[in-house]
Amino acid sequence: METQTHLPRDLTPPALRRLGEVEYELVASAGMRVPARVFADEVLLAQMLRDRSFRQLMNVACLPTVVDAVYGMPDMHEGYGFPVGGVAATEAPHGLISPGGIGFDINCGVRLLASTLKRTEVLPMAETLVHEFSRSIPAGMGRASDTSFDPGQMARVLEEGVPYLVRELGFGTEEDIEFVESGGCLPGGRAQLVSPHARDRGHTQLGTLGGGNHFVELQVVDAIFDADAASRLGLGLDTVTVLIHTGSRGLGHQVCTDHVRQMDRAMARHGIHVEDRQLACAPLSSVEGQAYFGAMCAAANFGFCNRHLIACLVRGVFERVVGHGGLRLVYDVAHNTAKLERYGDRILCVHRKGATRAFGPSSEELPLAYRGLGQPVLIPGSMGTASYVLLGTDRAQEISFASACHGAGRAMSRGAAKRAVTGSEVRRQLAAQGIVVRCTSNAELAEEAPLAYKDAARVVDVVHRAGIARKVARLRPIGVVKG
Amino acid sequence: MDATVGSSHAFEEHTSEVEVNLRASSVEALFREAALALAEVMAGREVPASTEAREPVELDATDRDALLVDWLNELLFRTETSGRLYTAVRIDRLTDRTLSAAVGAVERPEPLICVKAATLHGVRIVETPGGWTANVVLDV
Repeated sequence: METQTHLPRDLTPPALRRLGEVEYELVASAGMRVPARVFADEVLLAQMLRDRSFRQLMNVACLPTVVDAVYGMPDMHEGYGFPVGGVAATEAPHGLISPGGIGFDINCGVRLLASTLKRTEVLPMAETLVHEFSRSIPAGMGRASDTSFDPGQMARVLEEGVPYLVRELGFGTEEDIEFVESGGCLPGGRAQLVSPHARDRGHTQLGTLGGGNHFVELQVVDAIFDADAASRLGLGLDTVTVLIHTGSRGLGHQVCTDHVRQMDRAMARHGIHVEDRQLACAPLSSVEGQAYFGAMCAAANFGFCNRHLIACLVRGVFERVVGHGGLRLVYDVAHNTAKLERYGDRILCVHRKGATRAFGPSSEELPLAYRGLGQPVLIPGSMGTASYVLLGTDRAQEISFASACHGAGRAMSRGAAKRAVTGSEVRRQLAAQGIVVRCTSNAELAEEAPLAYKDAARVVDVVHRAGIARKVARLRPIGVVKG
Repeated sequence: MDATVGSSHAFEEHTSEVEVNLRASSVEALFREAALALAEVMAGREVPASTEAREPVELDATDRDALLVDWLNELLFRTETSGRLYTAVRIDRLTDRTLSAAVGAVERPEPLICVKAATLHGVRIVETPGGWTANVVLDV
């Protein structure tokens, strides 16, 4: 069904064509090589039209070698180059790869741990747990990890990822490996392609939270939408979970910086012009493309390992405070990556910037326990609001390069958020909800206030209605350590 | 503050990042102002100038716009790895593609705002009737 729809005059063009209940397509404009499609309801659409996210998505659609369509997830908002919540693919081996299509925080992602403990058992200890999280998990800029890795160990982290930490250094369990996306290791990681600057930034940061919107959150499963699926994921109503949100820290940031710079220099030689220099790109098969891909995979492995080590610290806190560290890993997903994936007889390089892979029940890449069920899609809410667990569908591969949203998505600038609310007010609001907060910066607390974000429930609802992923459970926060 | 007469920076609205508008009477002053703006973003407030600029910085880029971004990313790298905030700048030589400078730092205040990188998004150094201007988006 196609119906032409023009939004009211106070909402800026481009013109949109409605493709379905929650799917729109931008009417093609000059230079776009593929359609640009957005998943949104009318409220989210109106929010997107307030910033430059549509223009950025259109620029992505202008990139040489992009195939099929580019997609905006329902949490899409303005970024730089790619919009946050943008997905695009090129065909390997000669299609382009763009570091801006992944972002600086390579493999920023989320890990969910679940317990069999009930809310009533843990609530009396929530303050202590959150306090111990904040003492045990280095957070913010400049806080170094308590665990040091020599250069040889770091090289193996970059190339072997989580399996190395588990099997060689004894961090975590063998079972953990299966429940991390891609087994906790992208096999293309090449340590020698990670620059000295990147290693210098990252070498004390493995096992640290970082800052910005990163967090460790203590939660309760407060709603179940699919009882059978929740049971298979180990999520029981009123049980306690922990969600970890962080990425590859300074190492990943520097990898992106290094390679945007290199590709910006090399584009002319490849005959490439882009609308936005932050979209600098090169053929995946080129020297620059392979160098970035190897470094990106290495940084992604650092990100998986970072969340893995923090999870070990969380288990340690539970051991000390609760008496046992029996937190099972439900799943660990990446939000910012480029991955080589098969779609029919094509191998596509799928760029996800602020988007989550959402493989369906048929995927052979799923843990054995999740075959026939789907890949968990973990969607953190904003601070103080609920997070969601969904399962990817087979249909997602047809309509969105198997991609879903990654969070609530920002709805206003940091400046506007700080003008609207103070950090002290946010602390009071969270306390009134019974949420324990640890955050050293009132300014960052205000920037990350719930009012600065879109409604996560609405974003998740669109993903569900679009058929990309189906809702399984809702997780309500009872404590948070903010980076 | 190592202020230069006529130089200023302001923060513009951006949904997710920090966009800095720089204004100065010369390109050299623009680069100095960019360093101060970065320090302010990271500290969350204006920071006092350090006394001397002694650490050398040598950069080269494809053009002046990219050079500005490389400059900020180099300062960011040094801040993250040294524990210090760079607020003193002496520009020794600045061409359309190269920069020789010296910088000086103060011990960084806690807590610091994490800045991941300066981006190439929309960066363009433009000469105006009043001097020079540029916008840079910082990923925070």
